Amino acid sequence: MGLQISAASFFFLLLAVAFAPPTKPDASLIQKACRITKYYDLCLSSLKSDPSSSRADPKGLASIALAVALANATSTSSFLSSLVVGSGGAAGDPALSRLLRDCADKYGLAGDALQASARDLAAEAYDYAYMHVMAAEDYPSACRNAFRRSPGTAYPPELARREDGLTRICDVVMGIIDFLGR
Amino acid sequence: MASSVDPLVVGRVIGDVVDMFVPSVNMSVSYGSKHVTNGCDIKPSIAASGPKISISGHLDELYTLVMVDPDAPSPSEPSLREWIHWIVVDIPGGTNPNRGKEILTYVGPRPPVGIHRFILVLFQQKTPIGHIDHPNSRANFNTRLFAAHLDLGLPVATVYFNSQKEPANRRR
Repeated sequence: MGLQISAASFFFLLLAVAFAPPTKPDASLIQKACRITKYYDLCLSSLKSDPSSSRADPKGLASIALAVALANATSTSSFLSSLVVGSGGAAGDPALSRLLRDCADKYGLAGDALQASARDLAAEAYDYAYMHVMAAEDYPSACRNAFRRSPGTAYPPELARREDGLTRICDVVMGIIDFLGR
Repeated sequence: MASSVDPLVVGRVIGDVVDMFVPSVNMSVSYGSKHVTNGCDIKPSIAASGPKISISGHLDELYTLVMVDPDAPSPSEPSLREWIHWIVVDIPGGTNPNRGKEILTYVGPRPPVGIHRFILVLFQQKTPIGHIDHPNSRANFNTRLFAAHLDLGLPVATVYFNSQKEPANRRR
């Protein structure tokens, strides 16, 4: 018995395939977006840390990554301020105090830049959003360089860890914004 | 001498960023093995770290170098002009920026859209500058105003290259 599909059946088959629910579309969107970034695993874990990511569109994913970056910048700024107090302020080590305060400011500015980026992202001004993240990514290294220029003051390992984290997540955000523009 | 700045006029570097000047110092710029000539294309990936630069001049002279992108965020709408990528002061003549004081760390080109010009401008200083405050924001830098503020006069050398976003490789 030869397999003969009539034109009509073939047409209906085509329709059925076209309108069949795709399998796991949202997981693959996250994977597609993260593949473009430099830090695939970090991108995945950051996005998945927000449960709404499985239903988010590309712009939503960029938003989520931005929120993760902002959380780092804000918490690092607070962390540094607490170190100033903990180290006895200027009475303890004035050079270290000054550095910590300077760095707290820089991470604060990074947070401001990320907030500006979030506003531009919401307004779909992706080029501006991108440049603001570029600016934010620069502040952690400015802090590290300030420590480097002050010989005899050790760069706190916890700060180095946070610097690395913020730099990487900013890179992830830029990658997702790139993905948006495709 | 006018002919040597023609590419800068054609590329609107003279006009958009600096005024007409007479080059008086040699500045040689390269990223890895790629030597930068006016208007050449440099990929962001090879410019992620700062270029090797050597300048002529005498050891007792001091120079300031800035690198700017006047086409940020896009050439058609450059409202963040100029985006400042690098500031080094007190570079002794005949040496390189590593011998100077880096006021603003080098950030490589990462143009989000379009083809951007990346311009390196060299000034001769009248006095040592030392550590000055770097701008809080990299956006809306003004090379002319910066030079006026530090009494740097007109540029003594300028070179620019073009860069645009590279297509992403498929990772994984």
